[in-house]
Amino acid sequence: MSGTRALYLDYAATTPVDARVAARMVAALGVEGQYGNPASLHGYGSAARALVERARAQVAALLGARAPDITFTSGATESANLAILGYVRGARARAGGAPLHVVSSRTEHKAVLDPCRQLEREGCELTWLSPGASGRIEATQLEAALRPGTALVALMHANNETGHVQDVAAFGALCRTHGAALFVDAAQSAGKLAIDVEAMGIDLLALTAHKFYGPKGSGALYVRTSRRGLVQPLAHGGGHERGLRPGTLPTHQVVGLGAASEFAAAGREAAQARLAPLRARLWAGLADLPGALQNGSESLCLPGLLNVSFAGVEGESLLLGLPELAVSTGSACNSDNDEPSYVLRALGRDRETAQSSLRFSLGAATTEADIDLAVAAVRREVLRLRAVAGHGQRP
Amino acid sequence: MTGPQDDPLPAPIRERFATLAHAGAIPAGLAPAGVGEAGQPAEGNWVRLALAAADGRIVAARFAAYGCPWLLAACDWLCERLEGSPWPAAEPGALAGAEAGQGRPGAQPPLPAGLGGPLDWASRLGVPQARLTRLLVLEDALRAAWQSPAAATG
Repeated sequence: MSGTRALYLDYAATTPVDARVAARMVAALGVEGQYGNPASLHGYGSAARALVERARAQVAALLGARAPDITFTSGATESANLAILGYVRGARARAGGAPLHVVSSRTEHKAVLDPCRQLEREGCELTWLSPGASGRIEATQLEAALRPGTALVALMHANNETGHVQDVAAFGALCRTHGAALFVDAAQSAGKLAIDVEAMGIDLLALTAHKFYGPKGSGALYVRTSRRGLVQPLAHGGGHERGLRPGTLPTHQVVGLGAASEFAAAGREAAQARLAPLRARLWAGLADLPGALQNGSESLCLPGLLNVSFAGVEGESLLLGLPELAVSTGSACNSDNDEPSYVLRALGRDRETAQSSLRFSLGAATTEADIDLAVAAVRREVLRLRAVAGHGQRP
Repeated sequence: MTGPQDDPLPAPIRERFATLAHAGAIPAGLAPAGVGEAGQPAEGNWVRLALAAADGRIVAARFAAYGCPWLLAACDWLCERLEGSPWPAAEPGALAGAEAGQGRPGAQPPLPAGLGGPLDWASRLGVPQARLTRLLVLEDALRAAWQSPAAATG
């Protein structure tokens, strides 16, 4: 659309920075700000360090964690790599080098899948859990996979494509019983859903600020105190963050993460209460379209995320036909291997259904009028493209 | 997930995609002289081409298609180019050679002279190499249209 910006319904991809967050970040920058190196011993350093430690406490409060258990990173991908590779390598070294067993699932984000595959290449044995059609992984599946040599279970809290929310507390209880560490990718759920690492039995957790109105390039890894000694750093050079993540901390980025955590914790329930009806309104407006199929669970879903397949309509064409909307698709057209969404395929969707999906993710600025606009646009384009595809004639 | 900013399409493709004037059935009053299909929806690409002829020329070309924007726009573009072209059976001598070097295996009925082939279409439309398979599906549908029973009498 020329001259106007598309309606943004892609908050699961990223969010704008909250103005209050931005103000705190800006305050930390410049000659009047706390620009000192947080590792320095002089006053500039201690002023910056105070902001960093405040942010650490804010992130910890979001998770029900202890502040010293929070390590600042560049985002959830780095946190997941540090958790999965760092923990399993450390546990393996502690075990004398014997290959260890890891459990994960086929619907994890690539930030989890790829380090798990790296562990496979390093000799670890992986068990890949397959969720049911709704995306749910049953606790019984995990229980069946756990065994004495299981070092780590790596499962996400909420799926980035379908929004399905897993029963992490049940996973945590099982892991405790079996002595395995539980790593949770909370990139989509942190700041949106209640998380209590103690009550949920989480040992390691990754989050990123830009999914909940903080800055990009700022994330955190939670590591339970009792597990911390097992995590090997992936980089070396200075011993920052208690040896886990070297490098000078970007104070303003950390401040942004801390502020976003504070505001998310305070506004989470209100945001949920506002987004759930909007999501329901969106689905109500689309459900009667021919071929419309909701991917994921109706009840166990992030409040602002709706993933719908429109059978008979190719996702990339649908996306292009909706210039007034900024949404995402599971279509494979942009990938090298022509394989549509591996997440939807893992849920048992056929290729055509998987590549016909759109993900709508709602956020702070989304209104009922926006939903109505989106419904009208999607209805128009789905019907047009189904007509172009000659429904009733094609195989 | 992929978003709208990926692999931006050229403006002509976007504009053609927005209208797809040649999608649909052959206009009333004209009989299809050739109908051909290729591809599979499950593979992400399916095309049906229908052609009507009169006085040795293609007077109408229409398509139905499932696939990415490149494919849909290419279908529309090719239909536009086909209209007014000589019907192959009427000018067999004009058909040879246009596809030489395209590298498609097996015996294939030729395309009309001057129509070019998938590589030429890709060049004219700005279709990237990674999307060339879409145009091969379109080519197969066109060849199938020439070979269809209706085309034999067209």
